Amino acid sequence: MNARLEASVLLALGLGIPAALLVDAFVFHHGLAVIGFPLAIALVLEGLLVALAWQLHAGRGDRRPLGGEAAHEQAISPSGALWLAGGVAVVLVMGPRLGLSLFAGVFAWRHGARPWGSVLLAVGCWLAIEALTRYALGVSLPDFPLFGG
Amino acid sequence: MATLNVGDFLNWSSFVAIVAALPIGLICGLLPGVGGVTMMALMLPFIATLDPLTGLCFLLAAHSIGYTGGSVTAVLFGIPGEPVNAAIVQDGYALTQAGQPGRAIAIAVIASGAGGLVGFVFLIAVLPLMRLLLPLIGSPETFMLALTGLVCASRIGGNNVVKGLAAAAFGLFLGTVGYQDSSGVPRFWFGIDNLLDGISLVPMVTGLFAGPELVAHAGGKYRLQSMELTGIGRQMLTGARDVLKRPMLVLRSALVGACVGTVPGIGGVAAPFLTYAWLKRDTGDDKIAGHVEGVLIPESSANAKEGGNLVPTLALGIPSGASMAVLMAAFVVFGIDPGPGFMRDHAALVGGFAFALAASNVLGAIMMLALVPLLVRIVTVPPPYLVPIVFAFATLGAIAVHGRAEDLVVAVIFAGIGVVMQRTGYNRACLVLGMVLAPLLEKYFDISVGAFGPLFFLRPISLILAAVIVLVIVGPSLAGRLRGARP
Repeated sequence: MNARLEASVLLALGLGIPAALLVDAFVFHHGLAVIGFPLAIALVLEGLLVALAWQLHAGRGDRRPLGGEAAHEQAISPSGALWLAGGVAVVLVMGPRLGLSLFAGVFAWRHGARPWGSVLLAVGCWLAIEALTRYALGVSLPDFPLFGG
Repeated sequence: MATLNVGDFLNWSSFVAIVAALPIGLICGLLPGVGGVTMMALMLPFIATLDPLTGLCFLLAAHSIGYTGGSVTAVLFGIPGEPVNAAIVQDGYALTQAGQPGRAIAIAVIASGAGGLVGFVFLIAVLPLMRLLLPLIGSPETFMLALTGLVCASRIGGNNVVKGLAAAAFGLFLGTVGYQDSSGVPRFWFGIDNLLDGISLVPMVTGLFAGPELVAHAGGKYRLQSMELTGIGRQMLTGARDVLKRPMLVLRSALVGACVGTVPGIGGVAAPFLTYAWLKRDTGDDKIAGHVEGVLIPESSANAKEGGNLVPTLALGIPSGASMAVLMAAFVVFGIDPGPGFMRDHAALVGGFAFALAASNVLGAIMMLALVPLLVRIVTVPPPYLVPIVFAFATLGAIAVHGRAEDLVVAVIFAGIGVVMQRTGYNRACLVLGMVLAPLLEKYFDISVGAFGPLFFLRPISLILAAVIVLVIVGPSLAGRLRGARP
């Protein structure tokens, strides 16, 4: 699984970065004075990707995640990703104040919290965000951003 | 520098300002994206009514403790408050997952406080000399130093230096998105207006580090829920002992951090990464010892760099990073002219800064140690409550900096990239450092080539740094082969 994922990463980077450079050069007509530095980085990166591909091919690649990262690697759960995607969608539709409070309440309720606890969490979340952003930090957060709010 | 009496800067109002700044700095530091520069910028209007010494002591103290606050979230949740906190995520979070969050935070707090004190001593010792030495570090040296920091960072967290370098190079490439400094021409924006100013750093860091953890936790793979946090006091004592057993390591980390901190442009972020890669020992099978060092080294280095950061800012009026640039903006708010004449004209302020740095580190460490039992309890909050709270923090951190909902999309994209990087063993900290250093590298490269030609690196200090880069890349494998060849 990891070897296949690693190969996909190499392929995506190996093709994606030259593609970005080509688009910038031929669609936006940027010359070497503008994209010379990123081009140099891309050349170095492509070289490193070739080295990694060689490592992977030779079976000497670091198939396991590196030590430090592996130490706290968490299993990736599709349901967790779905919950968070839902949370992000709610925030994008309703804004952080309403969206985050709603997400907090529903998430807690669906994951075993008592109903009153979920409501309390949602209300607490709304109050905390309001106090923190509007009064403490003076940051204006958009409501219903997708609808121009 | 003019003669200075202690009474000029050691007064009650600046002391009260420092004490008041500590909880504010800590709270801001705990919020991803609000710590450091953002917090200083937000506080500027409030301090404008105070006298300059009090107001600037407040800013500096809040900034100093804010960094440690960012380390707490890095240790407890694997979410760094600021890019610079990313250096301790791997080892600090690993200690928390090993059931020792109290130990990890105690190490971080004590090492950070000790590093800050070394930074204070460094500041008062080096400041008078720095005006003579700093001109020796030109654009070629700054470019090479930034490159050295990046290469050193590629060794963090594992032995596959190629993956570390690839992550750093990818970060560099991402750092070139948006307007080019020298020409003002936007690159790689593909018609998306939000990319004109480049990829927002805070949403990117938040997504990269918080995303994978949140996905795992939201899916019920929450490993901390069953953790029994017994013996927090004992854990803290162990953490204190871990630091006390390694005084020379703390001192060396702090000195390296303070020295790197003096380099304008890169000192703000690269110091803990560079120190970590330079000083971390191969701990063999003893993973815990490795994690202890992995927290201790970046923490003492990162707080010591504050003293180093102040050196070029005060001596030459050259900010060493974004936070020092905000501090200089505060000078202007108070009608003070930052520049080479600053030390001569405002000796009391220089003394006040040194005092604020020392006092905020000592008082901050005491306050943080008192709060450790409370802070580590956060990880025992049941997941149904904790996950949405962390999600809310991360989301607000991503959005609040610019007040744009679009930044949440950036965070989500980088959360996906973070998941893939974590699964395949690419170093996320290298990506962040690469992105942060990209504009500086490009700028100093352009200046160096323009001023000294393509062979700009053939200057003594640059050559030494080039040798360090080669050693960092090939040194360990060469040493391994030599060990293997030995009968």
